[in-house]
Amino acid sequence: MSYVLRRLAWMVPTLLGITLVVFLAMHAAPGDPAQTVSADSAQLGVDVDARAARIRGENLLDEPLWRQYLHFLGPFDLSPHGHGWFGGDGVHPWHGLLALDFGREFQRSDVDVAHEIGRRLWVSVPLGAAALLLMYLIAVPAGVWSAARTGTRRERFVSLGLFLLHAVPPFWLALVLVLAFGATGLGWLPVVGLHDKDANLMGGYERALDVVRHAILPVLVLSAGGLAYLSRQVRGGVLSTLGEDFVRTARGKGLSERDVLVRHALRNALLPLITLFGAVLPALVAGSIVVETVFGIEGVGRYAWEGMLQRDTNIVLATTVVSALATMSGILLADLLYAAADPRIGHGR
Amino acid sequence: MSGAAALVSGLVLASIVACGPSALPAAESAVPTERSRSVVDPAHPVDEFHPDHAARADGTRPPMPAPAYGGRVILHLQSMPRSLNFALEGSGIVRRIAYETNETLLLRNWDTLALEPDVCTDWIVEDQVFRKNAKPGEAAPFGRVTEDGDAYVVTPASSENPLHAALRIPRADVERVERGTVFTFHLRPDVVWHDGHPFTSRDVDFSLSVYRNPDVKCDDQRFQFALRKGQDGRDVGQDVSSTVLSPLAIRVTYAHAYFMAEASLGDLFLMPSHLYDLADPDNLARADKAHGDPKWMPTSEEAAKWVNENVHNRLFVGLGPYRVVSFADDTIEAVRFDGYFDPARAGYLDTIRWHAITDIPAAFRAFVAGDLDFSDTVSSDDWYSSTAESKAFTDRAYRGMHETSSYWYVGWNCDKPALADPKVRRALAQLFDFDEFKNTYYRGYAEQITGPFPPRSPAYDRDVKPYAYDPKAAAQLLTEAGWYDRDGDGIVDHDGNPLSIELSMEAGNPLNAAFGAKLQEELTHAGIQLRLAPMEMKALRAKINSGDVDAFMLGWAPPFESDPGQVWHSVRAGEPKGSNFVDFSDAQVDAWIEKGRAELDATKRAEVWRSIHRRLYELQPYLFCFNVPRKYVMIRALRGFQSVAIDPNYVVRRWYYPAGTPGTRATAAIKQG
Repeated sequence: MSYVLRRLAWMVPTLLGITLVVFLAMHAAPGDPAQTVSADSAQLGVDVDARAARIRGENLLDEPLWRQYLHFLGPFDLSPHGHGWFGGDGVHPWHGLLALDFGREFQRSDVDVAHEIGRRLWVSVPLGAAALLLMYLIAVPAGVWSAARTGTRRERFVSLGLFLLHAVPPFWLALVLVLAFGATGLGWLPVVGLHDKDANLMGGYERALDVVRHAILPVLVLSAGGLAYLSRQVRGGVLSTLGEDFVRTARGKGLSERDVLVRHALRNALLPLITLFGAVLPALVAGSIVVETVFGIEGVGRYAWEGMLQRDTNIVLATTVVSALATMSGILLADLLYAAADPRIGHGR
Repeated sequence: MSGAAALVSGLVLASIVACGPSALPAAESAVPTERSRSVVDPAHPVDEFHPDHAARADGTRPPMPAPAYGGRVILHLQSMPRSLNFALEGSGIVRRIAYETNETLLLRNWDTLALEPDVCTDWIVEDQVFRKNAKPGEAAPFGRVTEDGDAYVVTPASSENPLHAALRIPRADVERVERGTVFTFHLRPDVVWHDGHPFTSRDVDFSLSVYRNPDVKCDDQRFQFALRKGQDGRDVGQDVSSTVLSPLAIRVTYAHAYFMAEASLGDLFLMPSHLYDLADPDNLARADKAHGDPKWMPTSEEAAKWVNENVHNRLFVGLGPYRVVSFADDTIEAVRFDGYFDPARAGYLDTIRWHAITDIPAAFRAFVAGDLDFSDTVSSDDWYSSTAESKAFTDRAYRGMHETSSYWYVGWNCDKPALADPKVRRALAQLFDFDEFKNTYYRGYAEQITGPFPPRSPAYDRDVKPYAYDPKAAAQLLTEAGWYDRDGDGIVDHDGNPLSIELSMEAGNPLNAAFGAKLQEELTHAGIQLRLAPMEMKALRAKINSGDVDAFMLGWAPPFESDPGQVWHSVRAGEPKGSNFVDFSDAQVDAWIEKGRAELDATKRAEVWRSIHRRLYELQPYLFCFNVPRKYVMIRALRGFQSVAIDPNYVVRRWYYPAGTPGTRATAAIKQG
């Protein structure tokens, strides 16, 4: 328990460090967020100055950076409508990371960023989970198969394919798949969004099938990079285990090669895969930005990208917090699972 | 309130959109070619780019197919709005949806561009006379004010005017006359909201009052109909009041004359009082709030909260020919409203769906996949791509362009000694071959502009012809201005200084790079040094605001009419954050701006604006460059597309599926039923 608490405590400065770097990077980038957003609507006869002033006022953009960062951290709202302790009128006393309130979008001022992220997590998390599942489902058998046939021409060919898959940039792979399977190619699969334009007319089963069809390519792209990495790790793990004494003993007992591979070598080689969970998760989070953009999916990754384009600090910082928390939680979970799976491993006890 | 007009920042400062053909295929065969290569023709034919409606050799076009009622269109939106209440969310996207789902008091005719009654039958404009020593609270008499010797004669023009006969007021008793400040609207009796509730003057009154409630979240647009405190503490905006005269008549009064008042009022976003106003006896929500007290009235905060958080902000109940029926995560759908008051202006389609796809390439892919029927946010790369030229694409869809008001220019800093002389600036205009650039870079699909107003608006003087490309004439002008090569180094000079200009531009924009290189080449031949200075947009803005800039490339997207004083009045010259970036100052232009602001007759005002146009082209504070059309893709099955001068530059209500298309019905069926 103390290990978990220590790890959780370490997450705090790590998270702060991440948010601080992103916060400073956002402010170092060229362009004035308030002006950028205001100009979009100026043709309609809106009061550009009033809109820019509102964005600046609500988000403290004219305040010193340290104050802006404290406003982001919370829990006190430092804006004119914020906490009375800091000169606000008390209408909206709490704000920031500690209050789980990331403010509102610059562009759509009544959209609560935390709420929007919550909505989009329902899209991104299932996609990521499906990709993770697919990754492990393919990587483990592929790794074992490679280990069992190491050095053969077929194994080298498969390894080459996996290396290529690992080397291919996700956006390129996504565009190739779109061209190949979308309407401009074979026309087998939809390539934009997660549902058909007439999904509202479909029954439950048909609708679920429609979502699955839409998710095939995004999930494939999301899992592609990690798939190669994981399968190589399985292969390496199985190969090293095959040289252990207990495997020789198993063979000496007359077990079939399949039983040796699956029941003895693989079971022991799987342990490191748990830790790799922590390494794969950040790649999934980063990949979601590309995948959701290319496939027009309204997920958290795409939201982060839109926030960057709009110079919306609230969106970027909030999505950064979510992805950082997801990554750190993944790593912590992997460590805990590893400890649970292998009693020999201690955590500084 | 003269400053208030300037507050209407109607112009969009735009980084120049690269509509560049740097990576364009050489073949032009698939690019529409039937038009005159001018995107601002006096009138655009219907289905101008439709392959089945292409012009024949004799210039005529095949007849349009007969329209049918029915069918659905899926339009692309670049982002999903949060609300459909334009008063609360004043975005272009909401405006575009409101065109089909709501109506306004007045409507600018898409063809004639004149203001016409929409949900009113007529409107009357009158003037106010403010008397000296008027008693507090005493209303100023209003009517048509004429001058007669040493008196003003106020003649009532509207039947609701409390004056029943002409009133003669000695000039000596008059403090001021505010022309065109009283508007009386007579509403159509046959207009109903989508829920069947009749549309009355109470709705108009409430829609105006929303802007006066400081707690309603409409700060961005409040200035149009109410006052607010500016950053310097002064009141900015318009002081507007309204009086319900009868269920079908309302009077709106401006405290001060405002040349945009008519257009602004005519464009008021109308909201149903019975759903938004807690004080409205017809509002069913009122009973819950009032707890049986018939005299209960909401506080300002309660009234604002009811507007800000109203459930109908999404499922908006409007007056338009289409009724919003769903508002999902990424789609909004509206269906034909059978109770629409003007069948002649109702659309042909049964359903309009807007589908938000924020990524532009993804939207194009969605169009190719059949998930969209129309998109006008298409990148040049996609528009000219092999996909768009493939048979699969052209069998189902086609590509076109519609006009926009935006243009780009090179601004010359008139404060710089080398550029202060209009002869030098005119010489620069004659040193660039615009025709060649248009034909090579834009493949002919751009219009060289000569003034700052939207090319199809009455303010734009189409009689102003661009200066011809004439390096010899340019050299002569430079010599007259004292710039010629005195020391034989190939560079023209004056007072010992070579003519050297730095052109600042946004980096990473292919148009900027191509134009800059071509201009540099042309000027070098004329003995002028041009240094290109690409930089980030923020740095470019800072450089321009500092005044330490020779020349720069930027763009504007002007609305149909706006106040030219923002950009061209000398009082704006030298303002660090003003829009007169080039520090232009001309007494004649100033005088015309003042004259235009005081002119309430739109036709006469347009004449004044055209004078400014001519003068600006003569003085060349900008090297006015190109108005570039917007590319779109549309399915072939849909007919009736027409480019119009008014935002969003097309009219969905005119689109239709031809008679006989499965799922449609004959137009007669609707007329009978």
